[in-house]
Amino acid sequence: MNGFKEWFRTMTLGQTKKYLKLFAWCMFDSFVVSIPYAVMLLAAYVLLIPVATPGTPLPTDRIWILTGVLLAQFIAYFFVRKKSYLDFCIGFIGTTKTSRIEMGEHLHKLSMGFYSERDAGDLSTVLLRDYSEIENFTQQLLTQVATIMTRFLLAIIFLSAFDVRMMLAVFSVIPLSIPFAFISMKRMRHESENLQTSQQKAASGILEYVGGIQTLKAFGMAGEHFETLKSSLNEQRHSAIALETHAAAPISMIGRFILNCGIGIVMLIGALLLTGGELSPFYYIAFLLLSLTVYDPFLILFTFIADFARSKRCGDRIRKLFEEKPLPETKDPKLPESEDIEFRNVCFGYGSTEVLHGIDLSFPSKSVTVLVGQSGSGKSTITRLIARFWDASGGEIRIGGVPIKDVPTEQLVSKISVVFQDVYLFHDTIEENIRMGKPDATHDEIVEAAKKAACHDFITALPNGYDTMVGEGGSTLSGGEKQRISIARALLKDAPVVLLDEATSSLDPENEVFIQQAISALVRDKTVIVIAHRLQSVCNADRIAVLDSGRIAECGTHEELLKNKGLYAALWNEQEHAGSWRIK
Amino acid sequence: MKEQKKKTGFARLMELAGERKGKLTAACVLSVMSSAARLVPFFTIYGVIVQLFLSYNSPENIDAGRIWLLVGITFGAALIYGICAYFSSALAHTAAYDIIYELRIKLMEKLAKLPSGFFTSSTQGGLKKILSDDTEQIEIFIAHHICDISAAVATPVFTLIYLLFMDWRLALAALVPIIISLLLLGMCLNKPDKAALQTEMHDAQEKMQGTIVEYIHGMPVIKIFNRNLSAFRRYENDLDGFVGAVTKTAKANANPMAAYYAFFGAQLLFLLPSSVLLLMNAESYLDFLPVVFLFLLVGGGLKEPLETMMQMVITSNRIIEGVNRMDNILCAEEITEGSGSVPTNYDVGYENVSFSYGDDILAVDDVSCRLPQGSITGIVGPSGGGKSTLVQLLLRFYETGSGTVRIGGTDIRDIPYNELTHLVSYVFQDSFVFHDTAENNIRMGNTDASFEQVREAARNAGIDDVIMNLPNGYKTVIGEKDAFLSGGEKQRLAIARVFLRNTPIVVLDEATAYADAENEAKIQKAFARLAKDKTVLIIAHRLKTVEKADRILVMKSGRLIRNGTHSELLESCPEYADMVAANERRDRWTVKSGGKERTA
Repeated sequence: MNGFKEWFRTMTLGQTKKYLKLFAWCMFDSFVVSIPYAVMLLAAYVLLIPVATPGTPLPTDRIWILTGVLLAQFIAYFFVRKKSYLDFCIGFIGTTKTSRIEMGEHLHKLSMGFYSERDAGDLSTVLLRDYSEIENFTQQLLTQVATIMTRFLLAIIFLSAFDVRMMLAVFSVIPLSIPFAFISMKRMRHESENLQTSQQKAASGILEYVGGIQTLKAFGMAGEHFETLKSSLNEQRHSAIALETHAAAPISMIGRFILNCGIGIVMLIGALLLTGGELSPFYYIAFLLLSLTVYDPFLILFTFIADFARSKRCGDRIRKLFEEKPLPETKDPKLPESEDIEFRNVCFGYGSTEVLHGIDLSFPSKSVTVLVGQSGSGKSTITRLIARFWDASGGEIRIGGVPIKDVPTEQLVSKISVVFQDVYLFHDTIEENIRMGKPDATHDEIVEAAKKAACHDFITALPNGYDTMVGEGGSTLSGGEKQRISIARALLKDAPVVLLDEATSSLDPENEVFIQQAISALVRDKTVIVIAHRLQSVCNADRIAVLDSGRIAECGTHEELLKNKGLYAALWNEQEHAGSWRIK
Repeated sequence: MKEQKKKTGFARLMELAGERKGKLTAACVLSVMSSAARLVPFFTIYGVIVQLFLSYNSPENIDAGRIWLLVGITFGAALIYGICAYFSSALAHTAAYDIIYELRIKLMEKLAKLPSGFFTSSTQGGLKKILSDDTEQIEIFIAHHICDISAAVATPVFTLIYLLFMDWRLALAALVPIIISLLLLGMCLNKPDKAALQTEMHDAQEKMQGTIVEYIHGMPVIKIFNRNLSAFRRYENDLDGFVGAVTKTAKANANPMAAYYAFFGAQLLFLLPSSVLLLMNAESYLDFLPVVFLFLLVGGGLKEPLETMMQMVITSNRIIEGVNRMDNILCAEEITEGSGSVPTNYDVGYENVSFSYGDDILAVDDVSCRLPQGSITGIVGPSGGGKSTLVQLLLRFYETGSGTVRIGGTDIRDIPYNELTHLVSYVFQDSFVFHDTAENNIRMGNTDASFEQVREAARNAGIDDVIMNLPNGYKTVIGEKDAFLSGGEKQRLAIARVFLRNTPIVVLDEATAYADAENEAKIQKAFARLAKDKTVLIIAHRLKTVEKADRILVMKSGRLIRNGTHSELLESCPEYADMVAANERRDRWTVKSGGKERTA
C-alpha cells in the first residue's frame, strides 16, 4: 500500500489533491456519458411492452419523453465536456509547470560538484521528456480509471437491483483476468530491464560508431568495428522480440481472452436461469445489452501495461533527482574578513579513490599562486574545492580564517570568480550575457568591462552591437571571443578571488594575446589561483605549487624551484627543449 | 499524393521493409480477424434476442439448442480473438524489430561509405537521433500502428456494411451524429486562426524546451554568478508562456471539441426516434423489433474504432518525417572508389585545388604546391584560414571542387580508398578513443602488430607510463571507472596509433599540444626518428614548432599566400612576420596580480 502511495505521489508530481479533484470530475463526466445506456434500457423496456402483452400498442409518449431525456443529456454533456476539456488541457500542464519550477529551484540548490559529475543532457531529458511522459500517461490513466470506476459502480448498483446472480456472472471474469494483467506487468518489468541493458549497449555503440567514424575510416577499420555494433544491435533485436512475444504478451492475452469470455458467460447463465423460469426475458435482454459496455475500459487498461512500466521509470528518475541533496548550509554563518585561503591537511576523493592526500597550502591574499603538475595530479580538484563544488573528505579549507563550510554559499560564491575552460553563453543578447556578472550593472559598466576584456571591438563590429543575440551555446562567436566574454563577466563581478584554468587548446596567437590582455585586467589586485599548462606564462607568480599524484611535491618561486632541481626543474627543462618538429 | 520519382513516407517505408512485407500483411490480416472476432458478440446477442422474441412470454419453450450454439460461437470468437490478436502482435513486432535491425545496419553500412566531411559536429547529434530515435518511432509504427490502422479501418467498414444490409435507414440515423462530429472537427482544425494557434503553441513549446536545456547547461555559470531561478527570468516566463499558449488554444477549441464529443456520443438520440417511427410503420412490429435492438447494441460500437482511426492519422505524420530523415542518409552521395594503381613514391602535390563547403565562400582557393617525400611542411595562419580543410582534402574528407590532389603523381581519387588509408594517417584535433582496451585502441593502427610493437609505439608517443598506471595496464578498458584519459593523453594515444600504422604520409594537428607540454619534447624526438623518409604535414598553432620545417605554408582566407622557410618568410611575408611578433608577445606574457609586482 505504501508503494502505491509513493507511486501515486510520484505520478501526480506531488499535487495529489488537484488530481483527486480532476478525478472526481472525470467520474462525473463518465456518469453523464452513461445516461444514454440507462435510457436505452428503459427504451428497451417500453419497446417490449407490445411483445410482453400482445395487443397493447407502443406507448409512444414515453418514447418521446425518453428522447427528451437524451436531448437534455446531449446538451448537458456539451457543457460537461467543455469543462473537462479545459480542465484537462490546462490542469495537467499547470501541475507539470509547477513541478518543473520546483525542480528548477531544486536543481539550483545542488552543488557545482553535482553538475561536473552529471551529464547536462541527461538532466534536460528528465525535465523535458520524463515530465511529458508522465503528463500524458496520468492524463490517460486518470480518464480510464474514472470511466472504469463509474461504469463499475453504476453497473453493480443497477445490475444487482435486477438480479444479483446475473450481476456476479457479468463480473466473474474480472477477478479472473486481473491476476494475468499483474503477472504480465511483472514479467514485463523484468524483461524490460534486460531490454534496457541491451538497448543501452546498442545506443552507446551507435554513439561511439558515429563519433569515431572519422577515425575508423582513417584507419580503414569501419568494417571491423561494425561487427561488434552489429552483434549488439542483433542482441537488442532478440531481447526486444523476446519481450514482446514471450514475456508479457501471451499472459496479457490470456487475460484479455478471459475478459472477452464474459459475454458468453452472461449469455450462458442467463439462458440457464431463463429456461429454469428464474429470470425474466427483459432482464436477460438488459444484461445482454449492458454487459458489452462493462468490459471495454478494462480491455483498454490491459493496453496500458507497457506504458505503465515506462512511466514508472520516468517518475522514478524525477523522484531521484528531487532526492539529490545539496551541500549542507551552515547553521552558524560566519563571514570571512580577508581573502587568505588556507588548506589544512585536505583530503578528497571522487567515490572511493582518493585524489588529494593531505594537502597543506596557503594562498595569501592578493598573491598569485600557480598549480603545476601532470594531468590528473589534482590541480583542478584543488580549485574546485575552494569554490565548494564538493566538501573535502578530510582536513579543512579556510577563507579569511573561517572554514568555508561555515560561510553561507551565497557569500562564498560572491567572493570567487571562476574562468572556465569551456564557456557557456546563454541565448540572449551579448549585453545580458555580460550582465550575468552583476545584475544591476549599467550599460556603461558593461561597456567598460568589455573594453578591459578586449571584447568591445568585436562586439561593436556585430550587426546589433551589444544587443546581438548569441546563438544557442554561443555558437555564432569564435572560441576566443567566447572566452573573452566570460572574462568580461568575471571582470564585472569583480570578486576578490579569481580561479583561472589556463586554456589547453591553443587559439591563433592574435586571439591569445587578446585573452592574455583580458586576464591581466581581471587578476589585477586579486587573490589568484592559476592552473597552468605553459610554465612560461606563470614563472613570474608569487608562488608555484607542484603537484604529483595528489600531493604537493614542492613549492616556491620559479627561481627557488629551478635551484631545487626537482620535478619543476625537470618540467621546465622539457618545455624549454620542446622545439620544432623535424625529421632526422 | 503526386507520383514522384522517389517514393516517400509510407510507400518508402514499405519499400524499406523489403521481404518482411509478407509478415506484415499476415499480421494485418490477423489483426482485422481479431477485431472482427470482437464484433461477433453483437451478432450472437442479436441472435439470442431473436430467439427470445419468438417465445417471449413462454421462455421455457425457447429453442435451447440455438442458444447453446450462440453461446458456443461467443466463446469461440473470444478464443479466436485472443489467438489472432496475439499472433498478429507477435508477427508485427518480430517484423518491426527485424526491419529496424536491417535499417540500422543499412544506415551504418552507408555511413562507412560516405566521405568523412559528411560528419561535421553538427550532423553527429542528428545522426544519433536518426539511428536511435527515428528508427524506434518506426518500430512503434510498424509494430502497433499498421495493424491497429488496418483493424481500425476494417472494423467500422464491416460493421457499416452489415448495418446497411440490415436496415439502411437506421444505419444512416446511426451515422448522422458521427458525420456531424467529424465535420465539426474538420472545420475546427482547418480554420486559419486555429492553425495559427497551433503554430503558436508549438513555438511556445519549443521555446520552453530550449530554455530548460539552457538553464541546465548554463547552471555552472548561473551558480557561479549567484543568480537564482527568478533571476534567470526566462525559465519561469517561458514555462508560463507555454501554459498560456495551451490555455489559449484550449479555450478556442473548447466549444467545437465539446460539440464534437457530444455528437459523437449521441447515436441513441438519433436512433431512438427513427426506430420508433420505423416501428410504427413496419409491416410486423415483432419482426422489426430485433433489428432495432441490434442497432441499439451496435450504434455505440461504431465510435471507438473510429476514434482510434483518427488518432492513427495524426501519429503517422511523424513517421513520414522520420523516414525522410533516414533517406537523407541512405541517398547521400557515396565516396567514389578509385581503381587505379597504388603510387610508389609519396610526394604530395596540390594542383590548383579549390573547395567550398556549399556556401559561396571558397574555403580553399586555388592552392598549388608540391611537398616532396622526406620533408616536413608546416601550415600556419589564422583560424578559419583553410589549414584543416587543406589537409582534409588529402584524406578525401571532401572531394575537391576543382583541381587535383596527387600522391606520387597519382590523382587520389584513382587510389582505392582502403589503400589511401594505408598511405596517409592523421592525428585529429579531437582524438577519439574507443570504449575498448588501451591495447586495442592503439592496435587500430595495425591489427597485425605484436604486443611488443604496440608498447613500443606507446612508449614513443609518451603514453606507455600512463597506460601502465591504469588499473589493468594495457588491458584496461578506456572510459570505464578510474580509466579516463585527459585530452592530451588521448592525443598521445592517437599519436601511438599513427606510429604503429607507419604510413608514408603523416598529418598532425597540434591543437591540444599545450595540455602536454611536458611530453612534447619526448614525442618530437621519437617523431624525428620514426618519420624519416615520410611526407609530413603539420597544422601548427605555435610557430615555434615549425620553425625548422622544410617549408611553411601561410594560409589566409583559403589562399596560400606564401610558401617558404621560416627565415625566407620573415623577410618576404609581412603576415608571417606579424604572426611571429604576436607569438612572441604571447610567450612573454605572465600572470601577475599587480599588487606586488615582480620582475623577471
